[in-house]
Amino acid sequence: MTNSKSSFSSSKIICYYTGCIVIGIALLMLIPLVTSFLLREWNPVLDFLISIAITTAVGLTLIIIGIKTRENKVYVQWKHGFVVAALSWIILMVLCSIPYRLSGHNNSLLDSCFDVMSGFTTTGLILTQDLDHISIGLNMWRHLLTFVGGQGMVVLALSFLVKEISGAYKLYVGEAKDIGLVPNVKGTARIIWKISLVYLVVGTLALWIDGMLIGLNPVSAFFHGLFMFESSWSTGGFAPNSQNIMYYHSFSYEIITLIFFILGSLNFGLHYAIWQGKKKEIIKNIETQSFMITAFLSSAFAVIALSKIYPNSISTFRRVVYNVLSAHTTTGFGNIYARQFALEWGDFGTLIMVIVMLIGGSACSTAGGFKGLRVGIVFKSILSDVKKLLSSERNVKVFKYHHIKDYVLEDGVVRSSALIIICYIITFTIGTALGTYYGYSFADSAFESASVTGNVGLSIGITSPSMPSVMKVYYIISMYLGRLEFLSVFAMVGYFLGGIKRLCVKIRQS
Amino acid sequence: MRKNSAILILIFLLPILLAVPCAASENITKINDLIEQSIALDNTEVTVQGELIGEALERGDYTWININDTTNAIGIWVKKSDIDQIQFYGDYKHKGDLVKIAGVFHKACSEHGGDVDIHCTDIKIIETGHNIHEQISTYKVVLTVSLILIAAFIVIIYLKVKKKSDLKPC
Amino acid sequence: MQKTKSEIVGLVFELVAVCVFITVLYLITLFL
Repeated sequence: MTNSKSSFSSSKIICYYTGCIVIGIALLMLIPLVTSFLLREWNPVLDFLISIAITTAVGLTLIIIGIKTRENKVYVQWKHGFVVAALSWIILMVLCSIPYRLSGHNNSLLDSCFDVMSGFTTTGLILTQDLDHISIGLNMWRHLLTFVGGQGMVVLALSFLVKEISGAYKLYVGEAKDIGLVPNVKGTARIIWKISLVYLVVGTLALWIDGMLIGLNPVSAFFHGLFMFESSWSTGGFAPNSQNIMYYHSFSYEIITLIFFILGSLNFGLHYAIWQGKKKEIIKNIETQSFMITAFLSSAFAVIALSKIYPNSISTFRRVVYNVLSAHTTTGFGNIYARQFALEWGDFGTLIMVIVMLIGGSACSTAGGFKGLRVGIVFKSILSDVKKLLSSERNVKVFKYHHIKDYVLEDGVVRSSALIIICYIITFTIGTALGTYYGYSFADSAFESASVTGNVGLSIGITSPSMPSVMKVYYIISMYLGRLEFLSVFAMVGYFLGGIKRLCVKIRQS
Repeated sequence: MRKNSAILILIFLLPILLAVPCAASENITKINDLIEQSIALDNTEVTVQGELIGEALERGDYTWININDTTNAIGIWVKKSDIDQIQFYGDYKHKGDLVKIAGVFHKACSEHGGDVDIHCTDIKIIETGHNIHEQISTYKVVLTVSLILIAAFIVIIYLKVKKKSDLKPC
Repeated sequence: MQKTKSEIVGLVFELVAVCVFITVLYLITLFL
């Protein structure tokens, strides 16, 4: 009796918080709505009104179902947090795809969902057609989704909507953000937003001014600046043009985006520490150390291998180093055409890209991949194991690593890091296998699969509307698993399977 | 006799006369093909045709323009004076001019930091663009209004339920 | 006020640090 009662209230808790997050996104849709209205783009205005109406209806219905959560001092457990994070992303994927589908630029609802998931997870692969003719309102929506997705939808809701603090931390961790900047979660969420918004102003201004210097007219320079900043900071990789960043033909524009996407790939805890005066953190932190080493090595190898195909060192820097860093930080801005990776870079270049895309950026940032923290921890544990073997058995050595604070390199931490890395590798391998099954070459399949699993967004040419639907579905799942770092999705699946099992038992008993 | 030879000469000349204008119409390469065969076509004269998109990016005496021919888009480096004739650039509210560009293709231009571009030698406007007038279907308007009404109805239910739950003691 | 000052200093520091990082990478490219 108690079992079914507690599971009943569990679903109410989940409905309530999911509903809150959905309402948050409905409010977000006001931004592109107002944009289109001011620019007199009438079809998008209607598209967004329709989307807001549907999203509000769904969100409020979920809140109404779970309304008892407000009255009772409900104990929100870890499983609720994970399930809410994972479930809200799926529901939002469908709701946020409505403006895309109505715009006529996507061939199917699946394609629209793909683009939304690509935005949320800050991947950056697109199936949207004719990008050069889409409305500014829709462009505002696309880039806003990637900006918010980078921060996290749960983080958004926690900062502004959710009033009850008790469940907040568990929701927050469910979205794979486990850094506590200040003791309370709402405070931490607000700080994450503050850092992002300050950079939003600084970055948009920088790109706006540079945009005008390179020839854009003031109004479009502003929108391009805003969109490209949102895409850089969130390490998303969307651009308001079909040529991505090649549209601008500008070294200065590329450098500014480079600065902001590197910063965006860094841990929010790191930003917070530096903003509080702890400047040494930038050198002591295991993630920045890991990133600097892997970035230098990969750039060096790529330059050695590829400088022969570029005429001078500026070209090599722009076309090789920029793209390697874009891949490493999991941004996805590409200043060469997708097919050029396959045709001109060759297998060694492709391999370097696959490796850096999988390694990814920092934990608790907008970046994807294994994360520098895990790579650093696993690497250090290998070093420490070798040292232990070599040193005398009477010496008990304690190994430490620094990540905002000093931590001991414990077996538990090493194990969980290694396990998540294994999950990423499995996801990547399945994606590669699927690509080869459908006839794409091994190198191409590996590249695309790494791009998807690491939430990067560079394409070697596989992603297109004519891609098999099975691959589209798998890529959506892969982007989603990669971004939420597996646990919350597994928890959600487990929760639903448990629910179905209980339902079957109930039916059999009655 | 003279008439016959005149006819014969004409018959021989005719194919030559016809061939000249035919030779003048170049092979238009699709932009995607340029990229696929970038190594083979590097530093060669090519002709592309596509719609102008975005806007012109002035850089001193020269300008960047971007064209899209539905297979892909590419940047063209062209003299500022050559683009005075352009009226429309493509975006949400406009269809850009359709232009035919002849120029040298680079797969990694040394002048432009390795950019993939075409240095224009000749530009012709094939078709002028136009304003795009939005078509708003009545069906969409009806759908919007009905959905807003449904959402409003649910908002009212929510407010009622919220009031009831606010009154309940904890 | 002190807090805002340290935040601005931190922001500038980060921007400068990334620029230094990029410059080093550029120099590496030049020499390889």
